[in-house]
Amino acid sequence: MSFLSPALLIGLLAAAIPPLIHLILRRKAVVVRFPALEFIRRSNRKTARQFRVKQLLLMLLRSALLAVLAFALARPFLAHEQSPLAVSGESDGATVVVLDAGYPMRWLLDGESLLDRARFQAEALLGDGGGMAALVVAGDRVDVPIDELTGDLAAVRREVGRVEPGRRPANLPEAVARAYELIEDRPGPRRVVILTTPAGAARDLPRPSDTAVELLPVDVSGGEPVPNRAITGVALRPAPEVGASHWRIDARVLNAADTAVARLPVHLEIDGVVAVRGFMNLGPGEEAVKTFYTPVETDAAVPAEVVLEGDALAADDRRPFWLRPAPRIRVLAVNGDPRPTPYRDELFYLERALSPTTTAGARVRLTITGADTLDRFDLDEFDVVILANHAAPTPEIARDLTAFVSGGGGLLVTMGDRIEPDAANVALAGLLPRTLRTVRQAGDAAASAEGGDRQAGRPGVFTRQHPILSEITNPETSSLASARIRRYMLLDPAPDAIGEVVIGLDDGAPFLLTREVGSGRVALLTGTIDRDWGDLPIRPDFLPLLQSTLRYLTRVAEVDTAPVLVGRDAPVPVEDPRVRRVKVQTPDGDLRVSERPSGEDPWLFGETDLPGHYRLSPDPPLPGLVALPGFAVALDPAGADLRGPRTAPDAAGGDVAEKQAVALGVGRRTELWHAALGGLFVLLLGEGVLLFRRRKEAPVLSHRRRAEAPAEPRGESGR
Amino acid sequence: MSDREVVDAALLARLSGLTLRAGQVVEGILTGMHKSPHHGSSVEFAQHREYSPGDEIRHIDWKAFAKSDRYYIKQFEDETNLRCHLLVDTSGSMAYGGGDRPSKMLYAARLATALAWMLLRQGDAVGLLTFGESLGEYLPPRARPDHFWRLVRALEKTPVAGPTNVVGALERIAEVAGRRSLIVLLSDCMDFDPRLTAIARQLRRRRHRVSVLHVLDPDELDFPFKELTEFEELETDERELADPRGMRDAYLDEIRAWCEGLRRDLLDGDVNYRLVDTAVPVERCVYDIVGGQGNGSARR
Repeated sequence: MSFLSPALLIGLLAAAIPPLIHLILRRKAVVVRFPALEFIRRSNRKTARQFRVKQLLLMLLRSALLAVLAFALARPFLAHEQSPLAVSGESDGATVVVLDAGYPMRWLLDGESLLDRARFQAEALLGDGGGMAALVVAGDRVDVPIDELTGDLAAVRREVGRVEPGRRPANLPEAVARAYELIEDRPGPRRVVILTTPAGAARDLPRPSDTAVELLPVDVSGGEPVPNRAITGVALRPAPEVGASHWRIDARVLNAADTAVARLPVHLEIDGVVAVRGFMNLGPGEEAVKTFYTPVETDAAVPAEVVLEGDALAADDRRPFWLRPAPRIRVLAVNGDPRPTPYRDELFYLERALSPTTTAGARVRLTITGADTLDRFDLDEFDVVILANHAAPTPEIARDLTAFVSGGGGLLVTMGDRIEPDAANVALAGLLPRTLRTVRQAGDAAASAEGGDRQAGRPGVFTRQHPILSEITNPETSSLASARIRRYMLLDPAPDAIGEVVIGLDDGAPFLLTREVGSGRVALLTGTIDRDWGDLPIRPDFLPLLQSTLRYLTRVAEVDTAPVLVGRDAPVPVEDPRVRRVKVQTPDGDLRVSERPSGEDPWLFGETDLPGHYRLSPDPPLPGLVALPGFAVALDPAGADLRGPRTAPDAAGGDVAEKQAVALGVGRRTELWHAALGGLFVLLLGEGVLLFRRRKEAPVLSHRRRAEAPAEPRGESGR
Repeated sequence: MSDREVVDAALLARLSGLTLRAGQVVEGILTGMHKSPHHGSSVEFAQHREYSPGDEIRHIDWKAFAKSDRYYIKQFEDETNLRCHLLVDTSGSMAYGGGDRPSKMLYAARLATALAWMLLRQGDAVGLLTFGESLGEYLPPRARPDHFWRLVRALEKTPVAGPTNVVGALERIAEVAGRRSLIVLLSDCMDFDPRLTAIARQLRRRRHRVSVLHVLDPDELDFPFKELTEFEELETDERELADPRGMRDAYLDEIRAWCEGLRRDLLDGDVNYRLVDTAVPVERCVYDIVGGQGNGSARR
């Protein structure tokens, strides 16, 4: 019989507690001077023997209770042991044990980690008998603590007992190759390399060059399923289409199991607080993406992580990253009709709509230029370009605009008296959703019989599912619907016209259209953004309409979210040249110091042994620089799939399955703690019966007892 | 013995107002006292006593009636035909008192004092014999009021120690109590001498009236101990280790059988027996006695 937690056997000493208590209480027996000693003496003679037997029984029962409890906690089991000789088949056989100590070995199976099982199996193999043995540990790196075959199996067992799980997937091919090196030089009839690892991890193992060497993979999970779920990656990008300062987080989740999982809880934590909760349904072996949207309201980066719940391998259920404030929308507005009177200026209402006071949180940075100075700007520095009443861009500008939009930028074109439809159609041929025809007077009876004698048209058709209208709850009853549009640009009603009408006028003419060009988007407003052709700019809903249009058009830049893996060098994201040295707080709270390298070398931090958030602070502190963005270190998801059997039968010879069965027999065991707990229950029952029988109430005789509750007498007592 | 305050003035004051009850004492405990064959044989006037129902009319002092308009009975020395002997146990076992209760000795002394007070108040003679292993001070019966304080002093100064010798005390009284008299024994009877009932019966055959007031503490009757205890005998200092949880039932059976056996034997010999619980106030105990509830224990 062996124990999984033999240290807890020290609890057997607790069995001595009841006798000790008995002895202490006996020594501390109160002395009471009492007259009726003769009756006590007679009663003692009658009952003492029976009482002592019962007390002794009770004491033994309690001692046994404590002993059995300690016994059960030590987790006893019956091991079906076989020696290395049984495996190698020869008395002078040689064995190299390769122990997988990668982070997946932290998986808890029945409350015991796979590494504990692997250690047990290795110790069982090296338990007794003769032969030679060596040890290779595949942890964060391949380590060979016993670097040559030795007959001192106890030393090998000691080294096995010292192995701790790492933070990276084990490099098993390299470890097995090292084992071959150790054993191939050894002459002998049977030479065996035993690999203790989850079945799914034993892939792509090298073949031994010496055919006499055998590889026996031992599945530490004992054939039991190891349905691991892991977060294998996280991608971030701003999500202006959802709202100001919003981020979109795409978390890839792998169901490395042979069964589907429904409603797998997954949540997003920001600065230690659960921000968004969600669930996933995943098929067997499926990897899917869970998307979260969340705003970042602060001006500093905040630590965040996506967390999976309910898994026996907690290490790969968290994926840390930093969320930075969403970037500002950089807008370049081209004023095609500047006026000296502010409220008559083409961009007067646009500037007010996008001013910091009205776009609090929207984070818009507006740059205004004239039509003739547009070529001075590098469009790549902007996310959105607005052509407001711009007659027609030059061919060079038009080419730049086309490249800008195709590359992901946004373009908003608004009308006005300066527009030259023909020139604009030519210059923006590849960008406009439809061809411009002519300016039309709304309410003209000739244009619409339904218009009657009205002098203005109204927006009456809304595509509510369009993202631009997502923030306007009910467009039909909003102030947009009551705007009076006196004139608008009539578009070519080509049936094959591309683009989507977001808002249409009540006479059926499109008023706001969008289209996608390459990676970018274009929006066309057939009205003006000043009051020349209508009163839309003074309607309250003009502000959300304009802001949501800009967010829709904004270039969405993917953020570099390639993770820093445990043990790799992490770039220190400090751009301020004044910072020469930083303090790095590791996830476990330790403080390290990192200095900026001289020259052009990248600033790297190498002590990334733990997954989690690494926080940075300037050393010494700099005035005005409160916090620095940190970086996150994640586990390598390569080892997340532990499913078997994937033991590469070709690599180890045709009889691997048979050999593995032999090797598996080494680790088989029958746990006894269930039986111990059953015994505990029986003992408790026995104690209860004894106590119940003893506590039967005795009769009461005296006058005092008839009147009051019993009380301990003081009497003439002493020690 | 100043720490043994056997006189409770308030109690005595309450008892002294019970003239009628004193008569009941005569009828109850002291039955036959006024039917002594020797009454009137002396001419030596002793005192006057207020008339109470049951007194012979011929003993009324008519001259006194003429002066005071109240009935008085003339009493002479030899007409004090009730002679009461109070036998108070002062052995070591009587020193026990559980909780806040008085010791058995103190309780017995107070009870004896109360009885003596009542008897002396009604003109009867009261004597006292204290006893432990050996006999203590003996005060012959006297009916003088100042005799009360001699009894009190004797009860206060007698040491409480040593084994019990109830039989010896009864034998001593049998020698000195020549005429029929009332003999009241206040003891816990912890000597377990089987001759106790025999000599009590013998006294009864000599026409003495014998009352045994069996004084016990509630702890002795209920045995409320719970933890492992080493009990030490008060009289002999012997010790016995016992776990009350295991032997309480047997103890209660033993002491109940002993009390019941003692009571039955005494009653069979026409000897009064009363089990006195020291948790009961002395006054109530006296009321029970004068109430004439008959023989036996009030707490059967």
